[in-house]
Amino acid sequence: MRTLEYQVAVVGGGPAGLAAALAAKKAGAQKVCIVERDVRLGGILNQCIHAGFGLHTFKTELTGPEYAARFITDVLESDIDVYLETMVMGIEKDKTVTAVNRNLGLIKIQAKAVVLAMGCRERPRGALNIPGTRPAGIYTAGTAQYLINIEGKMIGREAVILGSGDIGLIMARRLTYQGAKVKAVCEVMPYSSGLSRNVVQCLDDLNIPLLLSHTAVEIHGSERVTGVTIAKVDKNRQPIAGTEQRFDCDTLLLSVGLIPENELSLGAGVALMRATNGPAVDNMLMTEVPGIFACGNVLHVHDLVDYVSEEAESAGQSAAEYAMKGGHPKADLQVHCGENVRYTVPQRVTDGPVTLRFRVSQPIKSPRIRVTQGESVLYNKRKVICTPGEMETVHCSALPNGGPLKVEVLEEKR
Amino acid sequence: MKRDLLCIQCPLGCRITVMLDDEGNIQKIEGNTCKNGEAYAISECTCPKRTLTAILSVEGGVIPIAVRSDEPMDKDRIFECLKVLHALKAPQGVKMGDVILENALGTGVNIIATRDDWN
Repeated sequence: MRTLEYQVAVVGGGPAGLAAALAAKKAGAQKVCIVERDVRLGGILNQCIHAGFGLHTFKTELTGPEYAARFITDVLESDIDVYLETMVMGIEKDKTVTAVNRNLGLIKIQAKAVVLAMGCRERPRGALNIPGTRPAGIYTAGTAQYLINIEGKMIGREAVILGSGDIGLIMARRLTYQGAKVKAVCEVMPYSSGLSRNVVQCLDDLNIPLLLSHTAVEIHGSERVTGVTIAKVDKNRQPIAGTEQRFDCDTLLLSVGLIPENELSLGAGVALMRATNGPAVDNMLMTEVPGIFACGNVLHVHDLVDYVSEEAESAGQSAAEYAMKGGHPKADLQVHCGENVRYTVPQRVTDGPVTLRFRVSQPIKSPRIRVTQGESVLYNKRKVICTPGEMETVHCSALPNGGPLKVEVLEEKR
Repeated sequence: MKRDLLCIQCPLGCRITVMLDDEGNIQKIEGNTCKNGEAYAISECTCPKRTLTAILSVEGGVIPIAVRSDEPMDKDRIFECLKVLHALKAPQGVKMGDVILENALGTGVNIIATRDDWN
């Protein structure tokens, strides 16, 4: 088996992996590689042909492939080694990455630091327990997006979409543009989990009804989907008898959440957080395994790719510093979730400047975001609104020996 | 006539109600909490624009190319434009940024490729 040596090995060539590799190179790492299982770099951005990417980073509205191209061009012009169609089989605690591809066969990449950037996969039907038959015509929204936008195949004529995540909303519009009829999008929560921009431009614009507090209670059809029965749900998300309505359709799309793809992380002994399904990390985005870093959707699900790139840059830079110096500052100040905070990334920090990313557990109007460390207030700002669909980022400076930090979002009476 | 809008200028997502007379002139805007909301309501009721994105099959190829309008175009003309695009086939070897359809429907908007031809 061939052994290749690198300072930084990045697993995954999507937006996170691209930005991490570029940042590692820029920070001075000599030998950097990206290992990607697909035939090309760019990851899921390649199939996201809609506009709206890069508003924060490039101040212009790009499509997914255009956003990816800006990073891919830089990677190809640098001397970062790219291994395409290469599947990583395992990562060890000592930072050896075992991979396989057609040309080299089984290879071992011995790295000083590894960046995990594998992204997410979609929650499938099996995770939902929808009663009914098992006909053809049930797709996760991202798979439908891949089939239509990359393979050039159409997937159905009449569709119902379950879940109002952004990919589901985007696909409602894409299906309509491709000539299909989208009968309804139903969402079990009382609010859409997608960006309101997508609710307006993908549903309202096309008169597609959004049924909030509704879920699918039965799938019909033996060979192919022939319909879906939707019912209203109560406060506990249980279907209410008597509210069922049947929609005739040949296609059901599921947009019901993403699961960080952490099989490799677990294999390397990386500890995962329950709230994010991603690795536990410190403020340099290092996992609990020294020298293994994580960024992008494998760490926690992001709503904007701009934030993925930003986070990945910081992971790439930290990985390069670790690879060159061998050491790593001790991050032993815990970050706790206070009122209305569902999770934070990172969960441990050093003293000094830190970036905290978090999500709230419910929509809060007139919130005050506060970060405290004992008696000291590190951050204290009012906002117009916080919603679970939009990730919050705060920059503050942690005090040495100040004890754990607490992030809270307090509802203010106006 | 009454139009209900969901403002997309910020995550607050104000529900804005716009009252229009028979000629479509704005009479009253309610529900917005800031000036951006008012501007959004005016543009949505007078000349709403969207960036069009689509896929286009390639002459002799399997993988479609992706395209978009080079600037936002009138929302009302999106489907008309899609019809024209879907009747087209892109030539082989298209590069990102290439103009696929110049001055689409006479709107002054060009349709450009957003991906290289991958076939």
